[in-house]
Amino acid sequence: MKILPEKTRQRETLEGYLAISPWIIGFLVFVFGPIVASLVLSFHKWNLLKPAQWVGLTNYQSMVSDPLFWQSLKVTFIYAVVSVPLGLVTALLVALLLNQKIKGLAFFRTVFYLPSVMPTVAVSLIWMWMYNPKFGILNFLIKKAGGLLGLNLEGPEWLYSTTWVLPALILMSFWGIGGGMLIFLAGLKNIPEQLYEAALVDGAGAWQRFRKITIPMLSPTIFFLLVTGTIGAFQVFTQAFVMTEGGPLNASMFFVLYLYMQGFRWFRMGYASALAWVLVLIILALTILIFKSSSLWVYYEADEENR
Amino acid sequence: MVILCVVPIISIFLVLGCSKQDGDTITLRYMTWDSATGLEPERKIIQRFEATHPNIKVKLEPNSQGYEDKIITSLVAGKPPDVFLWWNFTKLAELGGLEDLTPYLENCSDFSVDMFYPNLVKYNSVKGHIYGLPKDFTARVIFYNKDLFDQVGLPYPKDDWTWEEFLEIAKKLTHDDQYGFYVFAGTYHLQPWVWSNGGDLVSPDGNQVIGYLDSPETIEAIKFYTDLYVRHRVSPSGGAAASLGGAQNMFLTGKLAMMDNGRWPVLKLKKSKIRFGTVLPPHPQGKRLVTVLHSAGQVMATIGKHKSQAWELLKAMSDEEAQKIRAEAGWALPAMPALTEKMGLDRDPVESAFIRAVEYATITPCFLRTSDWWEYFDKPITDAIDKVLLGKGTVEEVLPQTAQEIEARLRRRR
Repeated sequence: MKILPEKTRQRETLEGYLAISPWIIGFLVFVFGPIVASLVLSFHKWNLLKPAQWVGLTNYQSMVSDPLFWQSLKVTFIYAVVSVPLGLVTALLVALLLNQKIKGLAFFRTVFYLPSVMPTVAVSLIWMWMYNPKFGILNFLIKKAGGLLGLNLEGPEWLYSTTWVLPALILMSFWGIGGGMLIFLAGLKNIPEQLYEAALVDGAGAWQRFRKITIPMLSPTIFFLLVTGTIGAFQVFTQAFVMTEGGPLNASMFFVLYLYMQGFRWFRMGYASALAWVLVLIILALTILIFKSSSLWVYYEADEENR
Repeated sequence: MVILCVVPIISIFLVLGCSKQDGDTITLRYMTWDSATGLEPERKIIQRFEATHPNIKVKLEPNSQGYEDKIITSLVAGKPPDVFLWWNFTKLAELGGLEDLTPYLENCSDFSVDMFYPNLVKYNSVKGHIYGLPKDFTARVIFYNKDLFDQVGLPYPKDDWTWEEFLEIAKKLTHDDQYGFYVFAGTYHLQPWVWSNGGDLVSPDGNQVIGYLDSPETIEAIKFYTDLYVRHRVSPSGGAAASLGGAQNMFLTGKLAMMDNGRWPVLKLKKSKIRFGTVLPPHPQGKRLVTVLHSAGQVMATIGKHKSQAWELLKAMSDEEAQKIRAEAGWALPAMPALTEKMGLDRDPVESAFIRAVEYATITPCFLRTSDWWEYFDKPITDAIDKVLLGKGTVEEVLPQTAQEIEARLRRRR
């Protein structure tokens, strides 16, 4: 390696920092600043207009006896636990199908990816129509299907039913599998063809090849999508805000929606900040858990070489 | 030589420039949640004000989306509009954002709140201090579809009808996918039902719920209201109503015979083919009706450089001429009894019900009594009523339980 003169090195360092300065300044002012501020605020009582008042851990303590805190936590956990794994499986299945050598592949890939490009608010409005109990296409199809079977089937009230609102939102989350599907596809393309050829020679069936080659080779991809998916699921807001406002009877009161209501509807900024930090801790704990578990099931080629 | 000439010219410009700045043309910002054609009367009122106050320019800033957030964040940033439209006076006064108008009114000879309906001034006041000058008002009354009444040969309802009569009528108007009335959870529209039965949701000083929310009168009233759906099914479910576009659309399409609402849909209904009437809400047998109003007023921000000019604008936005311009556009009812009479609105078959309702609006709405803890109160009660409507509890169970919960939270807060 050629050693650059001291002056040139300093200059290059300076230029480097200069080049990334818009990002650094943006981060410090718009991300890091508010993060620190929210931590400080979480120990205060602040309604925006009166000066913030130090209350120590009161905000954190009052969560324990706040029924809506527990309800929103429950709703968010159920959503994450169901929608993330199901979403992963669906995305993988679609990716496998799109990895076949068939005609019009580019077309299908576009079609399956397209929904992920749409803004959540627009998607929410479309799904509200589909879930309309009287005129929605879902209940129309349920009725038709019932008719074919000679049954008088009535669809549920979906977004207006405490039982069905969460399943409805989980079902809707599959709309966004396109991103995961794309990453799975890239992962599938990265699996060396000769592994499958060798397995074929050894007489492995399709299931065995999938189980013993595809899954292990994809495990880093699954790991990545699991982590990002879990983080995303805990931050769900827009759908609930647009479609249900947390109702009926708080059955779709997601954690971030509750945080928003505390902060921006009731102007309890201290409590809302404390909620945000609890969310950070929960997401952090889950991410660490997934990372720790990864040594058991994630397979990296590099590891093998080092052993 | 050239320089010698130029310098004085420049200095003349400078002097002119300065004098123009202190020369008293200032700009006031006015914010409102009105939008689209609703802004036309406001523009007219502002033009009239600017014509009589040549040194004041008014910048109209309409904001129909996220209005409350905008106002609060602008107050935090120290740049609120000088004058703005508001309704939750207690909350913002408690937060210190609203200028107390009482001293201005005391030192003012050309404007008095005596012109307004006294009950309306109460709605714009907190603990005896006036914070808003009423812009307009509406009362909640019952709208009814005349055609649906004619179909079953029912006479139209008249003021001074009882709950029992109301229920019987609603039953007769419910068949197939047509409903007599629409019942939904919430606190504001429920107040007249509770008050008319002698109950309340919170104590007069706003510091206690036990003994009010769980009183026999309140329970009886909310039971009557929720039973309209739970027992008598004269109302659609929340889901059914939502899928039909809500109560107002159901009324417009002849699927709802009666609806509890303020004056907002009147313009739309007048343009539709629906033949409709308005009547005071019913009351329990042997008890006096209490109604509830919705009121908004023009307020002044506490932080502002031009308060005396803002006060002039406030008056101009609420005086008789302003009320008249708005009323003529059909958007709202004037907040002044003399003007409603002069315009003949108290004799108008549709509008008069709203005006008759004012004298029955004798109780201060709960949110104006509870200072800044309204959310501890509104959300749990709404949830409790939702529980009843969704069949997850009875009124006798949920109200005492909710009262205990609210009280426990209040105690922790103190």
